[in-house]
Amino acid sequence: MAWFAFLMVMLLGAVPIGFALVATGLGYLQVTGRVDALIAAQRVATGIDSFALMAIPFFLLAAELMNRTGITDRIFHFANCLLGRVAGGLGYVNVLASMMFASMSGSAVADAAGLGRIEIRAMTQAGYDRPFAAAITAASTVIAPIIPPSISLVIYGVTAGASIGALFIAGLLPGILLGLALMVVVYIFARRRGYRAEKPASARETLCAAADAFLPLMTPVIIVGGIWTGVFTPTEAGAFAVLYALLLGLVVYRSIGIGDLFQVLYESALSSANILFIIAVSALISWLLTVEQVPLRLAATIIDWSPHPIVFLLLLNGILLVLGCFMASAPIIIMLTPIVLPSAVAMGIDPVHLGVVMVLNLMIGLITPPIGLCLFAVSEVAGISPFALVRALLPFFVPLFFVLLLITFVPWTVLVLPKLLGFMG
Amino acid sequence: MDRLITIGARLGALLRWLVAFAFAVMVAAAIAQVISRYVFNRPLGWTEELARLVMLWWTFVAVGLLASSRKLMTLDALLYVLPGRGVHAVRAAAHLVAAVAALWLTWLGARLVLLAGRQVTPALDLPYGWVYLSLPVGLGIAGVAFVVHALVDLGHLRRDTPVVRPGIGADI
Repeated sequence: MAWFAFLMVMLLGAVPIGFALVATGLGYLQVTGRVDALIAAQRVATGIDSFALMAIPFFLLAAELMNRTGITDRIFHFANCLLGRVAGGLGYVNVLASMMFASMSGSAVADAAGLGRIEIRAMTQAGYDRPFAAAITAASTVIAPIIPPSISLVIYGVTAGASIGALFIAGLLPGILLGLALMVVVYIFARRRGYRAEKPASARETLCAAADAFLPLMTPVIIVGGIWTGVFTPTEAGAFAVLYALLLGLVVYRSIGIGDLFQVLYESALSSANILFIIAVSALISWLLTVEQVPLRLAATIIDWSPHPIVFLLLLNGILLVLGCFMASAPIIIMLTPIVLPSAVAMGIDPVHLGVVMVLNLMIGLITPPIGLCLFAVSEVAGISPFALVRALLPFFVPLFFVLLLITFVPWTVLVLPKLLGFMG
Repeated sequence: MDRLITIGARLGALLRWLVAFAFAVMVAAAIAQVISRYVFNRPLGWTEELARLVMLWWTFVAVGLLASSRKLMTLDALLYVLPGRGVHAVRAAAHLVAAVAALWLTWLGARLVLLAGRQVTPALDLPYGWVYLSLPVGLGIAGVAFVVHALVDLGHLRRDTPVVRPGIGADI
């Protein structure tokens, strides 16, 4: 326990998360002398020598490319033609565009920073109040890492040793439910505040928009279809998403040049490295966990206490929500999964179910105060204070928590598709 | 001093290009792998190993760059609530701890490179030393950056300069 206190002090004391893990892990090995530190260092290097992990940089790069190639504009325009015509139309358009973007990108932050800009601009120009526009934009970023592909689910899958293909397919239904639940709130606001409809798009205009968005919208078909039929592994699907976005941006739409590529590559590499490094050094902590038998002792305690699995999941949800308010999502997944997974499995909770619940929970954490990256990103894009955004966001937490509780209580909603499609035995 | 800063800036620019280039190589290798398997029905044996090798390199070098630009993922809740002097003190201490951790891992990595000897990778026949070298190179840069940050923070603490609170942070 002393070592965990040490780690907590360093994390709270703003030591970069990866290096707090290095200090704890190497310190533990040095003091106890159980494992040669040299072997530990080797594990750090080999920890990310993995083809599965490569999906993280690929999907981050693909999302960044799609934001720069103007693909997001096309998606927004198409969604507008479909749903703009009803009262409060742009609210629905905002959610639908986020769902479409989610099926190409696995990053909530990319949604907030790229698509969010377009959505908020369109809504404020059409006369929606800024806080509402920002709130629905922020709330719908939660969908991006749930509908496949998902960078967070790749991190969970690698850490938990679960099938990333199964996790991707498992996110599909909860992601659609999230979109529908958010649209219900839009409906209520549109009735109460009398938001107006946009000029209905003619059939011709809708067809044109559909044609414009057709090529980008083939991305999810390639990704999900490729993984489903077994043509691609998730990593290769990521590489193809990159290739496809490059083809669209460089050749078809000619919206980016070779010169822009350096910046995009460099920025995606940095964001990926920030996560990959924590995954690499978490190998150092794994000895601490194994030798001290933390996950096993936790599992034994919980089984002694024998709560209903639902009670366990609710408890876990509570802990994750609190952690997610203060910390970035990726390190929480990396550090907490090895600790709680054995307990969950011992209670008959499916690792795929656990993964989707954890990720949805942590993505809600990205829009909760005091520290939520999407919250800050959207408030910056919208030009309102994070405080004003949180106030406007409050009603949107209802559908988000509703879906979180639904997928917690009803594992079927998560597991039905992967089971039906033969991803799980 | 000015000269050192110029050299540092040039080195930084070079490393940024290297990271972006290595990332591009990785993407190309992964795409070549799928195409060779499905289109030509003859999987290339070395693409996966190459992709994994360059990922290791750009990841660790990028960690060095992230450390020098203070952009590593950090739990910075405390820095929002502490008074100015406290922020400088916490930052200096945190950077010192991080420097020790980084240089310790650099040293282990360097020993790993020397110990790797003549073992070669299965597909590319590359000595393992080249694979492991990424660790001490990247972490060495990070360690030096942390030492510099710690000294700068200590200077701020002594002069009690106004504090800049952390920015938006990093996540996915």
